[in-house]
Parts: sequence; structure tokens; C-alpha cells
Amino acid sequence: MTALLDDLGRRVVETVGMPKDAWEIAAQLEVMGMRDSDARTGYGVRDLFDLARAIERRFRAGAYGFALEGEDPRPRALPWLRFLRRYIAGIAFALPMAMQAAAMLLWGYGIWGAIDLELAQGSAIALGFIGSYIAVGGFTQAIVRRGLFYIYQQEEGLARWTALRGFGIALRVTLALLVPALLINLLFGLLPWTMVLIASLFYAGLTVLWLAWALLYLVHHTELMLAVTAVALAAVIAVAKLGGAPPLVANGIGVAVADLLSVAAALFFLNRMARRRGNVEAVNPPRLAVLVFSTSRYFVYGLLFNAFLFTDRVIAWTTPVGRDDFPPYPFWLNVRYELAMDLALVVVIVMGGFVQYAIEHFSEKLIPHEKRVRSDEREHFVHDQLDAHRRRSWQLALTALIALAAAWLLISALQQVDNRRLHEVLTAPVTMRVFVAAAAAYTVFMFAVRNVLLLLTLAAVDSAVRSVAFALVANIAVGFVCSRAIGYWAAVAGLIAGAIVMAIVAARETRRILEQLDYSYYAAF
Amino acid sequence: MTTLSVLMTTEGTYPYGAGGVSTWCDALLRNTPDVRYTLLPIMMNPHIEARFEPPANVRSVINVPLWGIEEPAEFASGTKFADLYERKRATTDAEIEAEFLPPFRAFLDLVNSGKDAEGFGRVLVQLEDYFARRDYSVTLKSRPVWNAFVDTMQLFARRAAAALPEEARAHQLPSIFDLTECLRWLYRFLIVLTVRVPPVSVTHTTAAAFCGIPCITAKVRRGTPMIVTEHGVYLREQNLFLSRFKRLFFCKQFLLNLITAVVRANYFHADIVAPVCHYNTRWELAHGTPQHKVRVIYNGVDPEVFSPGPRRAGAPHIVATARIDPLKDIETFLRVVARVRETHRDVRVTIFGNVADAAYYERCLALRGELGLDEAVTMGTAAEDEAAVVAAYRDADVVLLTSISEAFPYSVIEAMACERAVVASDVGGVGEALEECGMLVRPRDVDGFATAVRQLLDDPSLRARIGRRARARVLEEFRLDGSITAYLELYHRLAAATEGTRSGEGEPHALEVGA
Repeated sequence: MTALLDDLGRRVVETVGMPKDAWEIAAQLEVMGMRDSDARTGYGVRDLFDLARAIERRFRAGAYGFALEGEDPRPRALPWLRFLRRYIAGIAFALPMAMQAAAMLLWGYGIWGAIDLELAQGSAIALGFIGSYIAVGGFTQAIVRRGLFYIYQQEEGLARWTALRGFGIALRVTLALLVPALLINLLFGLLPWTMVLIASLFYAGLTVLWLAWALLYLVHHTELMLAVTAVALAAVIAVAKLGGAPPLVANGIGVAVADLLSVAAALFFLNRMARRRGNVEAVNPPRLAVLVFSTSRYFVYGLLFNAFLFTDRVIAWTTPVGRDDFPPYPFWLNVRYELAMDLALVVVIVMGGFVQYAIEHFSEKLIPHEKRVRSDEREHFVHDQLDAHRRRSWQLALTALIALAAAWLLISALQQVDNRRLHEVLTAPVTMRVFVAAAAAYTVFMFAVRNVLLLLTLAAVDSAVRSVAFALVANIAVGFVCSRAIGYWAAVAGLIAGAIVMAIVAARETRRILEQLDYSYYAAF
Repeated sequence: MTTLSVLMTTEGTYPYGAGGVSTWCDALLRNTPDVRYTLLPIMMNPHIEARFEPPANVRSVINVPLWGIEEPAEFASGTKFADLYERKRATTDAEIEAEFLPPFRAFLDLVNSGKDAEGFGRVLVQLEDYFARRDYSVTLKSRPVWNAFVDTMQLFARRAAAALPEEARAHQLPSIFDLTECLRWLYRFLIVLTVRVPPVSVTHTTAAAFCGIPCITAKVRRGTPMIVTEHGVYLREQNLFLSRFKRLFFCKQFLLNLITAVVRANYFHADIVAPVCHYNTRWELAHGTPQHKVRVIYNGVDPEVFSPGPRRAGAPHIVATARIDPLKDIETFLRVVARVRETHRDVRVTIFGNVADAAYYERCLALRGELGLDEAVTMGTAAEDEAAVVAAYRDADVVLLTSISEAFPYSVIEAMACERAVVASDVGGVGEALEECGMLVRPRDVDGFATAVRQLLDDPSLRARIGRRARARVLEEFRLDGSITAYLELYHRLAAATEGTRSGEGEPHALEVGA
């Protein structure tokens, strides 16, 4: 009888692995088709529950071996291939910028800039660009955050609904901000109305573009940003070179083409994503107030972060101190400063790829690590994670050296280009001063960004906001004082100060989070 | 006379899911128009379209989504946003440690021990009271709660490990991931404690599950009488479902302990436990439900709707109404059909039922192809409406059900009401339905099923006799109006019996209501 019982018991254990108790065994016996009568006639017990208890006793006596599934399968791709894939994904965001920079050098045109633009027009476009980037910063974070939440829940219809609703609200709010801006100009006459008009049009056009690109990020088609950039650039160059249009008109057409393509692509992929699971329409969507509240901290983070990126430029271009081009208006673009800052972004691009890899690697390894470690060995877990974090920091430092070298090589190479205007700008002392300072600042900044992204990965958004908020304050304070006391170019000191503050605060917050990573990961849902 | 008000709670069914429980709910609500219902459906997520339109006597619907939301506040209708925000601010670690942790630790101890269902009900009330004042999400995601959970579960695990064989002990001790998963699940399942339900005459839960929690707390607070209807046996179904977690033993164990505690609390606090068949009473009685509380109320069908009708002439037709799900054992069904077609080449087969498990459906399609049944067997779509279901039965020569687990399936009594001969597996309450009015076969017995089906296909007079007996049995035992009347009587008796106690004449107490 024991042999018969054990044979049955092994079949049960083969199905369930390690049984919790007799009730689980009884449930299995029932779906194996056994009835109380089978238990009586076949095993001499009263009913299935008694049979289950008998099997449980035999299990606890060690009569049955059992198999549990192994660890999570290891990734199939080679480590270096995984690194390459993630690194490329990390620099993908910067490729549209790089493409525009190359187009500017080769053909004299970007999508929203041209070498032959009048400075007043260039200043207006810059104002529109910066204004739009800051204005949408919060909205893009909120849209992506909530959209990804619904995609993770396999509610693609709701993700689409949220994304489109967010797009609509963001567009209305950001465009509405033009009203007070125009009123202020009406009252104080800060800029001529031609500049204001140009700035407003580019502000509106670029707002649409940033929002559409946020939707492309949501549907995991960031490669389309590069494709859109290429087509828009082609349109600009065609209209300017072949059509003979003035640079401003060509740029306007470029932005319009980019907008149309981006919005169309975003809508197409959003609809396709929703249709794939058959839930195109959003059923019972959440209240707007709740949506706003749940994404508010991400909104604040996005707004502050984007503001941080351009604060030094706004501060530099709103003072005449140290400028030999005698700006006629309170806001006036400075080409040397702009070019120096843009070239220093090479550091961000090169380090950005590694940061992407580091964050994805952390996410990929976290759960398998947690599964391997017993809960009473949390200290070891935390220690190992802090160790890994430190190792990544050293690797990022090595990447920083490579990035700085790349930036230096680039500017050196460009200085050799046979173009008098370019050579003059690139070799000007101000340009080199700002370039070196910005490169250093961006190096520190990327250490901070890595920690900020880690904080966001662990849903520690308040910590991320704190890091960026303090950094912005430092950027404004130091940049303003230095630019007014020393010269406009010293606004870059604000970027340095802000980057250092962000790095320090983010590092401290990250350490605090990592030191209780078991709890931090639990709460990050 | 005071209007009778009933809180009806569901879980994953009415009005958002299809299936027997939803059909039953809808029939009960529609056929008791003088009862005022508050409906509380627990749902997987809030973005599901309702499949049923509740009738006018359902005065309010309180949706409780467990997933698909970042926090319960997202669907706290009727609460001002400013109040929700203020509650979040007022929920600090100090408050959590002082007010939440004591009942929370007690709750975990009761879950782990599986004892004291009465105490479990009291702790649920304490937790519910806490969440009336403090924010749910801030509390459950706080560091003090995480620490308390970790400490409590580690202690439990060390004690439990001692009772296991050597090789199993390591799996009893939780990993960090195990505890993360368990507390996240607890976050979801306890969302129901944030819901405020109005005072009612009677509460009625359609499962001894988490949806029964508002009924339990209403019973503990106000002595509101409580009915538990068990269509399937929730505890058994969850044991089967969670048996998939072959690797995460600790997680499986925790969830099953939690579910067992909830189920036992349902049984303990219920005044009436009403399974839909006698077979289900085994689990209920085994988990401590006193016999005097148990009253079997069979499902019923409308014999005017499910009525006999002439069958279309044509090849012999075997019909099943069963969703494509491992528990319906469609694989055995297909093998039976293949066996029957060895002697009855012209038999055609239709399985009316939605695909509940996509992977299982793919397996069934592959098997169908392997057995050469692609032309003979149609499956994967449900009948459009009730009329289509009736037409399907009327078009059948034999109705076949090969499930390995059932309670009291509607498909069997519907087919019986249509005077169709039924061949079904002898599981759950199927035998109670069929008795002498159909053919019972041991589950997974392909030859047994094939023999029974062949016998019926070869003998039209036998089919007709069995069919008539089946319908007569339905008219006597399984009429819809009989089932409705039974519940309505229960509602009135329970409500009347407690009216005196609620006016202050005595303490609320569990009632003994005869079967």
C-alpha cells in the first residue's frame, strides 16, 4: 500500500514541486480525477482529504524528491554585445542633434538654425527653442511615466488615451503661456515684434515636436526621431538651396515637416499598439485630478531638469557685460557661447551611452540578485549592490576621460576646417574658455544624471526632484553673479556649480536609497 | 415594512466577467426587483467593460480594482481630492508605527497560524478603521511596514522550516524577492479594506474570498447577517492556480495561508454557507463550517427558455458548452471524439466557449490537427447569446462534458432542460445534477466516454428517454424560480431575525437557519 501511495505522491509532487500542505495535495488529487470512492477502494482511507494527509506525511518524512525550477535564465547575448546594444540606445537620443550639427557644418543649415541667419532671427529662434524645451519638460515626463505604467499593465488602449489626452493638455497649456509672454512684451517692449513673432512660431512648432517625440519614446520607436530629423533636414536644404528660400523660411518649413512626420508616426504607432491587444478604446479612464496628482512629481522633475539644461544660456544671453557685439535687446544670442556649449555636448553623448548601459544593467541584475539572497542576509545584498555601484562609477570615470578626449579632438579637428568664420569663432578665447568649462561641467553632470536616473528607476522621484532643484538654484545664483560680475561667458560657472551640487545631492540620495535597497525596490511600484 | 437592502459582493465575475457566476448573479438581481442592492465587484483592473447591465434595483456599484491603479485613491469616488491629499500628509511613520503596526502584526500572525477565524474578523475591522483615517498607499509602502513584515515572516519561516525534510528547508526561508512579492500582493488584496459600504439588511458574497471581507466586517461591526454562496470552492481553485509556483515556494505558501485565513473567516462569520451542490460542502465542512450553517441551493434554469425543440436533420452532432481551459479537459474531449469517429465517421462536434487560456488553446488546436479532427471539430468561440445556446443544445444529439473539476455546471442542467442526453465526467456536483438522467464517466477515461457516447448515438430511443427524464428532473429540482425563491426567503428571514438585535435588544449572534 505504501508503494501505491508513494507512486501517487510522487505524481503529485512532480506537478506541484514542494507542496504547501494537505489541502494543496487534495486539490491536485481532485483534478487528477480521483474521488472519495477511489481513495477508499484504492488506498484504504476514508476520503481524498485523508489520502492527501497521508501523502503529506510521507513528503515531510522525506520520501519524495522534488524539483523546483532553476534560476532565471541567463541572457543569451554575449556581455559585450549587450553593452554595445545598450550603449547605442543611450546615444540614440543625441543622434538627431549630431546629425543637425553635421548638416550645419556641411551645408550651413540645421532644422531650426542656419549659419546665414541674421542674429536677430537666430536669437528669436533660440528663445523659442529654449522656451519650448522648458515648457514641455514636465509634460513629457508625466506622459511617458503614466503611459509606460499602463503599457506595463497591458492596457495599451489606456496608454494611448493617456498619451493623447496628455498631448492635448500639454499643447493647450504651453501655447497658453504665450499669452502672458506677449502681454509682458506689450507692457515693457522688451523685444521687437518681429522677433517675438518668430520666437512664438518656433516655440509653438518645437513644442509640438518635443511632445510628439515623447510619444515616439513611449511606443519604443526612438529611431524615428533620427529618420524625422533626416527628412526635415532634407526639406530645409532643398527649400533653401534649390528653392532659394531665405534661411528663416527654410527653417520654418523644416520644423513643420518634422512636426507633421513625428505626429503622424506617433499616432500610427499608438493606434497600432492599442489595436494589437484589441483594446483601442479606454474603458473607465481615471479622473483627471488623479492623473495630475499621480504624475505631478514627475512633472516637476521634468520641468526643473529641462530648465537646468538651459539656465546658463539664458543668463549669458541676457547681459551685455563683457560682450563686444553690443546686444541691442535684453535677450541676444551669442554664437561663440552657443557653439562652445554645443561642442561640449560631445561629453554628454559619449558618457550618455555608458549611463544607459549602467542603468539597464542594474535593472536587469536586481531581481536575480534578490532571488539568490535570503532575507536574513540583507546586509550582504546591500554591500554587494554598493560595491557594484562603485565599480560603475569608476567605469564612468574612465568613460569621462574618453569623452573629454573625444570632445577635444573634435574641436581641434574643426579648428582645421577651411572656413574662416568657423575658425575665427572656434579659436576665440571666449569660445575655448566656455568649451573647457562646459566640458568639465557636463562630465560632472553625467555622474549626477546617472544617479538621478537610478533614483527614478527606483521610483524615488522626490530624491530626484531635490537633486535637480538644488542644482537649478545653484546654477541660477552662481551663473547670475559671475555673468554680471565677470562677463556673460562666466554664466557657464553656474552650470559647473549646478552640476557639482546635483552630483553631490544625487550621490547622497542614491547612497541612502541603495543602503536600504531591499525596501527601496519593494516600494518602487 | 422596511425595504430589504442587500450588499452583494463579487470577485472577477459580475458584472464584468462572463460565466456561470455572472449568469446566476444577473438572474438573482433581476428576479428580486423589490430588493435594493448595493453591488461591490472586486476586479482585476478598472478598465474592463461591463458585460452585464445591472438592473434598476441595483442602486449603486462600488468598483474595487486591485490592479491597474497606482493606489486606491485613484478610484475613491465621492471623496474630495483635497481630503485625500490631506490624509496622505497626515500619514507619518510615527502614526503608522503607533496605529497600524499592532493590528498588522496580529493580522500576519493569524495568516501564518491559520487559526482563530473570529479574531481574524476583528483584526480586519481594526485595519478597516485605520484606513478610514490614514492613507493606504503611504502606509503599505512605508519602511516601518516593510520592516515589520520582514521580521514577522522571517520568524514564521524559521519555525515552519523545522517541520520540513532537510532538502526542503532552504526553500522555506524567504529570499528578499519572496518578501517583496508577498508584500506587494498583500498591498493589492487588502485594497478592499479601504472601501466604505452602507449599512444594509443582509450581505451576500458570491465567493468565500476577498470579496467577502466587507461582509465579514459588516457582521463584526453591526451584526449584519451574512450569506456565502460558493459556486466553485475558492480555496481549492486557488490551490490549483498557485501550484504553478513551483519555484517560489515561500510566495505560494504565503498566498495560500492568506487565502485560507480569508476563506475560513468567511465560513466562520457567515450565517449561511450556500454551496451550489453537496460536493462543495466537503471543503467547507473540512475547514470548520458547522453543518447547521450549510444549506445547498442548486443553480436553476428557466425551463421556458431552455426547452426542448426539434433537432435539425443531419449528421450526428456532439455539443459542449465549455470554455477552453485546462479544467474543462478539452484534450480528453478531443481524444473521445477521435475514438467515437472510428465507428461513427460522420459525427460532427462543436465546442461553444471562449478561450480562457491561450497557451492551452494552442495545445488543443495542435491535438485536433494531430487527431485529424480539423474538419470535424469546431471550437474557440462562444455562442452569441442565450438563444444561440438553446439552439446549440437543440441541435445536439449528445451533450458531452469532460471536465476534471466542476461545481454545479449550468451547461449540464441547461442541456437537461432541453431534453438532451448528457455524458459528463463524475466530478464535483455533476452527479447530483444527472443522477439517473444521464451518463457519468470517470474523469480522463477516454474509452468510458467513447462507449457512452456511442451507446447514445446508436440508440435514439435511449437518448429520448434519458432526455425526458432529464427535463423532468430539472422541472422538479433545478428551476430558476426555485433558486431565486430560496434566496429571497433567506434574505427576509435573516433580516427579520436580526432586526430585534439591531434595535438594541441583544448582541448580534450567528443564526441557526435550518437547511
